[in-house]
Amino acid sequence: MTGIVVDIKRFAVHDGDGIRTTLFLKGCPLKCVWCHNPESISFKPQLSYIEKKCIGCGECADVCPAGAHSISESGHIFDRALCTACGKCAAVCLGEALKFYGEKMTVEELVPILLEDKSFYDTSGGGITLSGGECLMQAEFCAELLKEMKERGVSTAVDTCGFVNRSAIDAVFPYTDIFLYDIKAVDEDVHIKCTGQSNGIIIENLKYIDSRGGKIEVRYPYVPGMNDDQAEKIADLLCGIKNLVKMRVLPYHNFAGSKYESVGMENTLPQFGMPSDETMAEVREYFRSRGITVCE
Amino acid sequence: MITYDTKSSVKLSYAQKDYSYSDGKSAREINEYCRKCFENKKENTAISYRAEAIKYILENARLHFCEEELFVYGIEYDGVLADIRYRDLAARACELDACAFAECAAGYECGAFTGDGDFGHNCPDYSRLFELGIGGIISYAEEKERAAKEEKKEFYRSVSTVYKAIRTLILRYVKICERYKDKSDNARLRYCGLLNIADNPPANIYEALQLQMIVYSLMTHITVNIARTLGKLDGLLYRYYCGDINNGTFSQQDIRTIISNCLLRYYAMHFTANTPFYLCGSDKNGKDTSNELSRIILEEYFALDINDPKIQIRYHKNIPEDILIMAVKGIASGKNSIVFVNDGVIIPALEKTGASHEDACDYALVGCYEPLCAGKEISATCAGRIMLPKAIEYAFTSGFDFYTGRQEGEKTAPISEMCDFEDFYRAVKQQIKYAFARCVTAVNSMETQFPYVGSAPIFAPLLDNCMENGIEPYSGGAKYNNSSVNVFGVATFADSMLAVKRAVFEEKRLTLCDFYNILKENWNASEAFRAEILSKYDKYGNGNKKADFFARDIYSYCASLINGVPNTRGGIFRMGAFSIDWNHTFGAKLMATPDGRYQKTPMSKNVCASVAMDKKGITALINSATCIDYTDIPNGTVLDTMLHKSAMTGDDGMFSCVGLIKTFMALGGIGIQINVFDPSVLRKAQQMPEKYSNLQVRKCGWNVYFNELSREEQNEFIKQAENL
Repeated sequence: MTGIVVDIKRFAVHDGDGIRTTLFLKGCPLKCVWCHNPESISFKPQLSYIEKKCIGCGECADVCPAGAHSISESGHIFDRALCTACGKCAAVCLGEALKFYGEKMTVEELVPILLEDKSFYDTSGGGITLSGGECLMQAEFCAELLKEMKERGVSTAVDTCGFVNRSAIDAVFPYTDIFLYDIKAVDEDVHIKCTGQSNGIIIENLKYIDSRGGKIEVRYPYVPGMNDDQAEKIADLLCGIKNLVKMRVLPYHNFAGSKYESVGMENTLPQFGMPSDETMAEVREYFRSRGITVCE
Repeated sequence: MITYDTKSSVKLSYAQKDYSYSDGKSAREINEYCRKCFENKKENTAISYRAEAIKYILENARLHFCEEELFVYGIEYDGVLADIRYRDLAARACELDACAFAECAAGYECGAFTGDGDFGHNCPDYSRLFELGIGGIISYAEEKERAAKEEKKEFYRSVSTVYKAIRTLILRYVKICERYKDKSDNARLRYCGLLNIADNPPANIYEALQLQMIVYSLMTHITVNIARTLGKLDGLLYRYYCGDINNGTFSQQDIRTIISNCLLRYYAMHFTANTPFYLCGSDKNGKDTSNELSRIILEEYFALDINDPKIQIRYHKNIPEDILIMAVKGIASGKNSIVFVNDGVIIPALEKTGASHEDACDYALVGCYEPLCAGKEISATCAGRIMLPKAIEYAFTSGFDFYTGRQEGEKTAPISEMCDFEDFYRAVKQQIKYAFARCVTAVNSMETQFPYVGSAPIFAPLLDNCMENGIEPYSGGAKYNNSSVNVFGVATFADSMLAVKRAVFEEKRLTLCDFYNILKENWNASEAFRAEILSKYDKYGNGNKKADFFARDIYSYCASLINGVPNTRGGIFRMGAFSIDWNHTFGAKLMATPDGRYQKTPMSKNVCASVAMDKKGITALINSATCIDYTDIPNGTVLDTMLHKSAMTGDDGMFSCVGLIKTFMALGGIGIQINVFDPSVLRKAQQMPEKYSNLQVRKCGWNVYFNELSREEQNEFIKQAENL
């Protein structure tokens, strides 16, 4: 079975406990305006091009079946309209200017890669995290991969936005040690404004996981001007979740702008400032005052 | 109540030393006297006139004093004894075997190897110093002298002469301090303490630290038998700490203040490459030796926000978690010069050199991170060097040196006659073997002269067996008398071997002769090939078995070559694997290498990957670096790692970092330094140095301020940080 992979990040330290390897899968049902991983939204493969890294070697032009790359007097010209995102150019790019997002990888291929840092997981209480995009859009693949990892004694986490069918949760539930669960807003209109979708399913699924006794870490991405008024309602919601282990408030940052450009997407990042350390401390303190464990 | 010196005043007082409190001779006068002393006493052996010269210095040199400082030390002196020793060493070595001596210079010129005399990197037995005190050492030396045969009397007399001079020096300080003794608690403590340690063993923690400071500084500064550690500070001081608290001499706060003042004083002294000490570690039964003082020292050190002294932490599987967390928190704040070393590897490594289990367990770290048996071993950690990538250059050129234009390597078979990769690798190994033979010749040519010029009367009573047997430390008097050879440039080496193997022998896209021409032309007109090697070929540092093979294999080969070869002082050669900053200085003497490196540019450092070639992050780098068998590397090395600031935030970051250290150790790593950076901060610091005057980075085993680095070194740091 294959999954569509965006990236693999080792020494991920904020995606669950301990030292982890995070596998990012491609495709997401939400369109969060602040998305930091725009290359993971679409299910289709995409080519990223960072012009300043190009050394003008022309290897890409030689292998491109669609003629999207050419080398002229003025240097490398990339015509994205012609690009079919086959990924051939990224494989030969010498300057590492071209990167292919959307490689199809099998469970068998991924298992040894995810095991490379097993000794680090073991000493730090870490493991692997499946993320995205929305990894549960490829739930059967996730389930198979998680099962393989569990069989090898690796702790597992699933990072999800919750906007998925219940069957997806059922598929991974037996092999998932903890769900890292995003709650962006409780008010439906705010949620729609932020993500383009209603949050009914998300809240239901959160309660469903809780009802089945699944461990949950909730993440609240705190975006000034978008969902910064939701803290109280989120706290209300979380007070009813029995298996909530802890929560994390993630400060919005706008460092991802160049990523949008590199994959030829329109930059939707809100032009608000990033929240100050003091604001973040206050928000975290608020949740603590509601009896919720908050990690720094 | 004991009060704090302030950081700025201590630093200032040390930068502008004030000699007006003391009578005495200037550095120029001392210099003249010493030179005359050595010129006119040719008939004497080195031992007595060296002792006489030291005596003269301690009795006559002007002393620096600052009223506000709790600790005293500072002598106006220009290093003349070290100059004379090196001059005489070179003259004797040249006279007795000019050919062998010429190897020393030849090695430095071509950079394939070096061999020299290393009088630095010592660990005196401070516990013996504390136990006997100055008076006790004098009596012991006098007693031994009376009982000794005629030929040994001079040695013992030199020890008592010098220690009597140390007593005189302390009493000169007492005289100055007496004037101020009623002005404050600090001044009173200073006066009483000095008065006591002039003869007696230290009675409390202040006196122990003050006595240590004097002896450490004299060894390092005056005689240049450099003590490169303050020892296991939490262990050495613990009985004073407990005693002082129990009998009410000091409150815990007083002790903290004393420690803080002492650390600050070493910081202000600014000895080259920092003043190190180490904490924690396991004893011979594997039991943890950390205590309350380990924690107090760490806390006071971090509170001071200084880059010197530097701290080595002896890690073992029973080290308390809270100490690791404390250290990691300091690292996260970016102000650290902490290195973690692994008892689990170092103890067996020292045992392989012939050290007893007990001695190996009580190892010290001298210099940056070099293990030796504390107070029992001279390891000459920087006696010799072998530059690994140079062997590749010579395999291509049949030993002809690109940099000097001379035949410096062995005349191995021409590359045109090599049929397979094994032929090439064999030639590389032959070149290493040849370089080691030359290195040994050079080291021996110097070390055979040690008995004639290397008299070390301050060090001698603080090194096991010297006093017992009446033999000078550098004449083979120590329990273990070894010499070390550092083999460096391993990532550049491994990546280059892999590039040759793949391009020439596996893909057959060019011949060895073609490759040589490309390297000779410094990749000129072969940029695409170079870019391909850089971006598409496997590299050491990514957990890739093919690349890592060469790192492991070449160190195992070098271990078989080096470890256990007898030296001239009754000990053996032992391997190290660090490069300090030689990756820059020796890189400047190296042809372009097959890994894509340009000629005369830096090679890889310590056991790190080549700059920015560790593309899979720190865990993969650790997986690579721990493929080497470090129990074959008793002289030590370190893995320099960098973490982005974001990886160290919050509790997650901190626990992950602790996990990183634990995993590194469990996988058999020997030493690790973790540096936390934000590349944008480094770039800003380069543009606006005045605003970042406190930004520390780790240059080698020691820390420096970023602003003090050359532009080239700064850029290297930025490039590494951007790779995170």
